[in-house]
Amino acid sequence: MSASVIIAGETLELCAERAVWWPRRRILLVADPHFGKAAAFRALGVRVPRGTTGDALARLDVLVARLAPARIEFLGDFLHAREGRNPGTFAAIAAWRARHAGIEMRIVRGNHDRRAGDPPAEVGMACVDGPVREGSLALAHHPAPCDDAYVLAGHVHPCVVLVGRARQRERLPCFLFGAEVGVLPAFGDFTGCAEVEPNEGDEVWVVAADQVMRVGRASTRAPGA
Amino acid sequence: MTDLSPAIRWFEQNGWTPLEFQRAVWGAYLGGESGLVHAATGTGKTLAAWWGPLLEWMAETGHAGTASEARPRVKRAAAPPLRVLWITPLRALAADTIESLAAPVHDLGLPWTLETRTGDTKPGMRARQSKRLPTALVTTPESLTLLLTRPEARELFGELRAVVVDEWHELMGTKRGVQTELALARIRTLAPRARTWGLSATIGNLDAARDALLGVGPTAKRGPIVRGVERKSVVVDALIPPVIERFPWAGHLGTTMVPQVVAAIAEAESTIVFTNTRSQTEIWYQAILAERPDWAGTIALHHGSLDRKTRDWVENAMRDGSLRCVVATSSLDLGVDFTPVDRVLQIGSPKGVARLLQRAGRSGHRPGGVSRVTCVPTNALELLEVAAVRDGMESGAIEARLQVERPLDVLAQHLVTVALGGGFVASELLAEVRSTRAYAALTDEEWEWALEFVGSGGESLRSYPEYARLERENGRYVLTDREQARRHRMSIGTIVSDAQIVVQYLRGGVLGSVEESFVARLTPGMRFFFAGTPLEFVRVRDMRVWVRRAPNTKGAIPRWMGSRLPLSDELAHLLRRRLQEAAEGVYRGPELEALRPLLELQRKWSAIPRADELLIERVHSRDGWHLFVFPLEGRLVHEGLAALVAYRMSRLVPISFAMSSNDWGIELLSPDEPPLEAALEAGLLSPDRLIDDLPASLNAAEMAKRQFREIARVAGLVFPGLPRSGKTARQLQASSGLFFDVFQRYDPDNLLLAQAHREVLERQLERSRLGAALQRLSVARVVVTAPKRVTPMAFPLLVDRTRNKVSSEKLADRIKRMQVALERAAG
Repeated sequence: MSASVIIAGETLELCAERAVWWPRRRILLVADPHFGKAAAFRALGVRVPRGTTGDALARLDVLVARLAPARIEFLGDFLHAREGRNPGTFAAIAAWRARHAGIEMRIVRGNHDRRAGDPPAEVGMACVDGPVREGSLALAHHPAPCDDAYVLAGHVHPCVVLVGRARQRERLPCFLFGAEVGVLPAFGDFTGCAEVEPNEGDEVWVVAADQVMRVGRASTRAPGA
Repeated sequence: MTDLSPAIRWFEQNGWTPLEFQRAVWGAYLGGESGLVHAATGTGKTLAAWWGPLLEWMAETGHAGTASEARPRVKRAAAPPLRVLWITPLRALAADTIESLAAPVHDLGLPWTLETRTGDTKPGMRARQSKRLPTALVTTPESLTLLLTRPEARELFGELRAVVVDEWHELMGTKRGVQTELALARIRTLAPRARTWGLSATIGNLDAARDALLGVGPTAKRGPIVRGVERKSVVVDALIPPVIERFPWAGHLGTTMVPQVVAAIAEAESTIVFTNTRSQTEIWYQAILAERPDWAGTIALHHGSLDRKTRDWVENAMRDGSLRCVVATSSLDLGVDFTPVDRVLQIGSPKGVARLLQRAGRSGHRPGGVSRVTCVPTNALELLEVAAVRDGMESGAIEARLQVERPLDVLAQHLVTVALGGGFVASELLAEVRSTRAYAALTDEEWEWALEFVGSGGESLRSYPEYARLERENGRYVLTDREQARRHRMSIGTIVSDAQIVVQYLRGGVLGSVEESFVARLTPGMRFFFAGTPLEFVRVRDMRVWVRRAPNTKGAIPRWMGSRLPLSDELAHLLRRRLQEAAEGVYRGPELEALRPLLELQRKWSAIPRADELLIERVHSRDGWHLFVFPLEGRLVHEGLAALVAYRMSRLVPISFAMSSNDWGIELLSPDEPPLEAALEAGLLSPDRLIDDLPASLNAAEMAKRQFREIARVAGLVFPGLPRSGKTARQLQASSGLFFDVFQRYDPDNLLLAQAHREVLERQLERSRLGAALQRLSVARVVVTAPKRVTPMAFPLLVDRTRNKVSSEKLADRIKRMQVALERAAG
């Protein structure tokens, strides 16, 4: 289940798979997949089981089947680390790419991509430095405001802590829309997230299992918090 | 028969006579035996263990032991190679131990070198030691394990004759103890001539302590347990508050007792004030100083996060009697002998008989001195615990140390250690590992799994491409990758804490260290107290917290992770007995007399539970619906019970609980009314179906996930925060929670996950106690009351902030009623 927001005059759908769908332009936006992170750990002698890449690609497949995007934009940190570059991961990504040959795909480079490098040419991904303008929006990795466009970015891996009556507490990944910048949750599973505290006027949408829900700020300090 | 006379002569020269047990230990050691000595602190255990190896060397070399007046400096190269390893649990004790060991060596003019090797050892000394070890080395379990990673480990220990493990009761029953067991097994293989002697306080299971120390199995020798000097008489009393507050405030400071504490300190010559946490140490130091500003300079504080120089200064000042009072944590529980101390205060409940005995023993070292310990309750109900602990001392109910069963994370770490230290043949190492008590029951499957986990190949590595850690060379497992070797050496150990950040003055002086999570909450200009000093936070740079002195105003106190001690089983039992008496109207002793009004109030509003009853109070407040349940079994058992009770009720209706537990009971808080009657009818506390319900409830409360934090670190999945670590280290950072989720999803059969569950059950929840508690509760008469207000027994639970949760509601339904927390903004 997804939810809609209007940002800079554009209607965007927030997907529970932790992605944004821009129907008017048929663009799917995905931030921080960190492909090859588990492989980088393994290469450096830490045991992390395989399966995270395949799982992330399968989640992308679900989105592609449902939305039929014309283009997929990755908002940075497509690859995690140089040590994570390995034939297995690239083969899986290339096979996935080939299955969706009709879809344009582009990586707006992030800080990790700079060190990890672009994926090999045969994978078939355009790579650019951000921010890149796209209508009234700008796509970037770093959530820095841009002069004349609303920025959609990643990098932060945001999540919020929610509190409720009877000392209820829950920590959930979120979409965070400020006055000039909107931040997407990290798409990758093995990425973790960072707690953010929204400012007055920010819109927060949390991913609660298969739903995306808007949440408000607590007006006073929560009981027991 | 080796001649004991040099020892006897040395004792006589110092005006002493060797005690019976000391002679017994010398004789047993010289006769080739290993063993365990238990005695009170400060009764000569050190000399009992030390003289055996000295006498042996003198007999071997014919050294007469007559010192020349001028002690010649012993040349490193001329001294005998490593003969004695002395293992101490606290590196703070190492220097002190060397001092006691050095006395006879100097007096007899033996050409031995004595040195320490701990995390505090300076690089220059490390370099000298890596060329040649001293004749006797005082070290910690971690530093010993580090020695075992050296490729020439076998040669290092070639001449080793004695391994002495000091304060063995402190190590036993912890993963550090298991790490020590593995190291001792390694030494038994590398140095067959070496004998092992443990020094311990008296505990409830000395046989198990001996087995863990000396190993088990067909080749193990069962050495003697030598009983030393018994505890001198101990007096336990309490400072009784002049007015028993109606509502005891739990867990917090309880500094209302400061005037009485100050009066007690003023009466004595020299006092140690023990607290249960480092934060409390800082709080009480400030409170005492505020009451008596004229004591500035004569009182001090001591805890494990202070800079070593500060700790050394405090310890020396304590010894020479120039301090009136030290406020300390368990950092002063052990070893160091402070003869001038004549009074010990214990802030808050001691939570166990053995622990209070240990602390009491820090006083009264003067001839004819009586050990006296005075408990200072921080809430009224703690008076009951004081009365119970005295009952325990009178009846000799000293707690046993629980054992840790075959932790695979420690084993995985050990395999890498041995692979570095010259490598191993699998079958040989397996036999060695199984000779320890901790791994005696290790299954073949678990062994194979651990081997495979550290990357030696194997079938199931299919899920782990690109991964390899150990290699095989001619049938031996070795580790040659230098980067991995470096990382392993840096992460040896089983003590898990948050990354520590050094606190330093802008002008240069180092104060100690605080946890990263505390630093995250600081903003420039903010004031906080640390090392007893008001400080202003300036900035964080180069992995340091830079501060300047602040005028003495209010400020935050850092908190350190670390579990609160639970009430011991013995004490819980004694507590229930005291409550039963109160329920019958019997109030014995000054503590109970003082508590009488409060307990009468408890009875009037609700009930006082008898030993065969289970009291449940249900209260409705603005916060929601509270259920207070009082099994009186200690916090560890209560955490498990809370999860179980919440889980069972949440199966009946969709509901969410926030739970808290303390030593007296549990609180379940929910936004909707919980189905208590239906749940009781369905067998809320029944031991039936426990085998399914318990793991399910622990999962629901995410308890295994928290336990995984420690396991991930020990097994080498997560690295401790390293200053100036390069890009590689940063890319290898992921939280243990993330690892837990990824394993659970992609490798659910991972045995480290199984270990996390097992540890929660056995260690965290003390499964045997939990089972026994459920047996007791299932036949108990359930008394449900509905007090209008929160009762004295329930109040401490209400204010406890650490909570677990269990929910059977749909996440989206819960979220509809929640809001984003703004904790930092609100302060």
